[in-house]
Amino acid sequence: MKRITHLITAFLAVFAAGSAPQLWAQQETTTDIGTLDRGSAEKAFKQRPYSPYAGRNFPTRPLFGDTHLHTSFSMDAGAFGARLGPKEAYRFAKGEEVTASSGQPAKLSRPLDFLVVTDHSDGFGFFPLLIGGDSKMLAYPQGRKWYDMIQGGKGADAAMEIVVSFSQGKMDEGLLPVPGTPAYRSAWRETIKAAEEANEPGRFTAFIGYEWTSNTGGNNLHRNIIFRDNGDKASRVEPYTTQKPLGSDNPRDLWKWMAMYEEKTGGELLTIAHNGNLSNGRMFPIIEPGTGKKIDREYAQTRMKWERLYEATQIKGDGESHPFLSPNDEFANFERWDKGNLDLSELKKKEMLEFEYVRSALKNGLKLESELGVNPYKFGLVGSTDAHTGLAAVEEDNFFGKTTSSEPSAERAMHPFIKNEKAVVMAWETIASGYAAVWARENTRESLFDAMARRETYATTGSRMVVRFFGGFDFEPKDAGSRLPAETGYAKGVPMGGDLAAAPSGKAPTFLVAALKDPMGANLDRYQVVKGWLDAKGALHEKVYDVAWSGGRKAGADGKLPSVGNTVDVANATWSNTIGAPELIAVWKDPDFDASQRAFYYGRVIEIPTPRWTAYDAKRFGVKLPPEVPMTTTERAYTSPIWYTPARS
Amino acid sequence: MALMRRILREPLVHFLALGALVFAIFHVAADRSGSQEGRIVVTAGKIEQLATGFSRTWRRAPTRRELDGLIEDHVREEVFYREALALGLDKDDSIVRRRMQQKLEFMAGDAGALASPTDRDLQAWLDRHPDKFRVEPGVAFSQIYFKQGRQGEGAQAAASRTLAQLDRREGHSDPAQLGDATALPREMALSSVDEIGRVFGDDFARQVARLEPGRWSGPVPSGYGWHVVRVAERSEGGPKPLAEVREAAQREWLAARNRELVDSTYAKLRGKYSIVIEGTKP
Repeated sequence: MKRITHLITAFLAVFAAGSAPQLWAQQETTTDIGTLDRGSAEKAFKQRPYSPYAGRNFPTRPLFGDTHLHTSFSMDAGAFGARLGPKEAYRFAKGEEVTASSGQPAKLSRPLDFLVVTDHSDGFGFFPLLIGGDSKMLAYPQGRKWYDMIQGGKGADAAMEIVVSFSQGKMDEGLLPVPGTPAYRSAWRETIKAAEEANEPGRFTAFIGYEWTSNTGGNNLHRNIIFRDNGDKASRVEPYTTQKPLGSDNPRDLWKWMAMYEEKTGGELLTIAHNGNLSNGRMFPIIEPGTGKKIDREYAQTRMKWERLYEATQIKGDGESHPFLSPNDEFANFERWDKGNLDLSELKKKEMLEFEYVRSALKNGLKLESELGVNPYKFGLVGSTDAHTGLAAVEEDNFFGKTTSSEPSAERAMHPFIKNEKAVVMAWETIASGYAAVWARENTRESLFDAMARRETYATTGSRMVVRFFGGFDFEPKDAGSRLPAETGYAKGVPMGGDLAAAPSGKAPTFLVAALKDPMGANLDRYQVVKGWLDAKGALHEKVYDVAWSGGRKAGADGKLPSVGNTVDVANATWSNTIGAPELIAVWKDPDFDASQRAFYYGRVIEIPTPRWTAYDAKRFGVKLPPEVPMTTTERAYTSPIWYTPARS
Repeated sequence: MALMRRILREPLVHFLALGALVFAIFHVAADRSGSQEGRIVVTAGKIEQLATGFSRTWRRAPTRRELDGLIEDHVREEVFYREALALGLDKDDSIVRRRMQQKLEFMAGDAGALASPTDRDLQAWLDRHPDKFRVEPGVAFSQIYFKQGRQGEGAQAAASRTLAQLDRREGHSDPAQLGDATALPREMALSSVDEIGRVFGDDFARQVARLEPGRWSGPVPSGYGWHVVRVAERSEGGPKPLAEVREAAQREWLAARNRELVDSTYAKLRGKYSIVIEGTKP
């Protein structure tokens, strides 16, 4: 690590007066002046304008962003050498060229539409202070020691010691800036200020946020908190931490803090959990860790209120499903991280998997709903990076890695990412994933947040494909040929994240699905619908249906569609769009529907194979990677589900 | 003792001592506490200040134990601070020196934060920095899409044939009914080239930006297939009017003014010194 003298800066932030508080609850139309009949109701509404494009009140393109990015303000990021702070992170997301912490220039192929900088609340701003030689920090033996190590060129060793002593709770008491101290407040204010200055309504949204990193025993229960509000409200609190006595590692306490914030400021928050794959069976529990009791109605209600979305894919593995859970799904074995928990202190057992992955959690949610009356796992899906570099760069040909030490270099793929006596995860196992796509009407904090809150979102593994998913009871095959499929979708159904209830007699749910390839990316292989349901005996099931695909492929005797093929030239890290389709669109009707059974449906879109980031590394650095390193990938998107709930009998 | 003597000779120490004295006198006058050598008095006023700080953060009063802790922290800080000063630890520490430099710079810059620019100031600033706030050139257009890999006639051929039909005004068909069904927008309102690129790809956006408005043209390729395009309107880029960017311009203006103030303060202060730079011998 280079000797870096970093100024401690003090901040004078003047925050603009904010927007009026708004409530999440949907406005319900109630009338106590008589029954509204259809005829007069229709007259009350204007006729459709002649122009089919006028008065359109739905989003025409999804907004892409990252809801989970760390900068030098995160202790571990700083430890690994990140020197870019929130300001630089927003600049990079807006498409500007920046110099990465490793000294190389970095730029996105095209700007993102939004970004949330989510630094860890524990130890917020620790590194800029330590590196700057903050006198308060140097007063502690550990602070002095680490500072000297960094100054003496032993930064990497210092980083390891810092991360280990932090995760094991062995830091000198008082060394870590905690909420309420000037150091902590100043770092939080700087984060807010960076977001306020980067935020350009209509063009780029810079959200205020942070990560609450509950990691007791190395089991990942991390959550990102996103503010709908501007700095005037956000600066009235300081982030909630996990370390006692100020904080807690229990999500229930985080939810209480969120409620406190809303009460105090009239603002709004939501939270997005991630990396259930590293929670060792604790992310989507049926038995609540800590109490050992089955989760209750209050837990379910509170969780559903705050946890509107889940981060289904990111650099530390994809979390949609697992081959053990979905043995009949040929695409389930995608970039899995299933060796153990986050620090590999405990290895994985198969029985943990059910409580870690999106699909099994959605299924258990149906079951819990039938017992508790509330579904705790009714979440929508996004992808995000979780990069610790300040760079939301997860395109395969422009992947800037998880940490500063894994920014592009000839050696990066073959470094161990986490290693102990039990297991090792290599850096080549990190995946260039993902982004959050949000169907918001406007690119503003409010509009994006509201779309997230209603779960009108999907996850991608880094591609910017456009995915539509509408459910209703009246879609017909000809709707797929509609000139304005989105309008038909909104008019006749609900978008991703929505609900279907009480099927009309004799009708089954129908879905209008459409996907456009990334304008700069690869063609599409297929659009699938994943269904999960709870049968009358209380057993859970899942099935994957191919609903639209490229070319004239026909399903084989086993019901499976033949592979789309592969055009990847690994040696040259290229591919061609001679296979696949630029666009897929179809109407699909559930052939196995039972109106009395709870179910969910979500869309999964698969691209044709393309070179994985490791192939670009091998080509550009002229290195040879061992045979176990995958060199191709199939980018994909997962939509938020649409739930079907039977009428109460 | 040599160290002590050296320390005592330092002009900076004299300056600090003087500063400390002024501070001490001020302190005594303010709350009648004695802050003499070897004596630390924590006054009722100071304790109240500590308690208030705590309540501001936690929205409750500190408990007796917490308050004792706060007081002890304060004493600890004071003891170390005084001892460190006595040892001259602030002297050769580049962090302390920069911190003090920074404090003065902030003070100098703060004066600028109180200023509020007039519209004329802001307009003049915008004129001097035309690239800071620009309206990108925009295009509004309709497009008819021909899907890559479509059945029958190829996409490019079908697009060319449709374009010829539109040119001859054959068939009186509604353009919205021509071409293949798609989820791509059939029409885009006035949008920047960048925005069009995010939907159709950059190459397509650049080509559309060059088309002559008012007539069907093309076919234009994209990653999706071929398109027959009619540009309805084109707007030139240019500087944004002040009304639209006032808030951001004001921020930039203040930041610039802040820098100017700090620089001019520095120039003034520097003028008080005669600066000798001893060249190194070749």
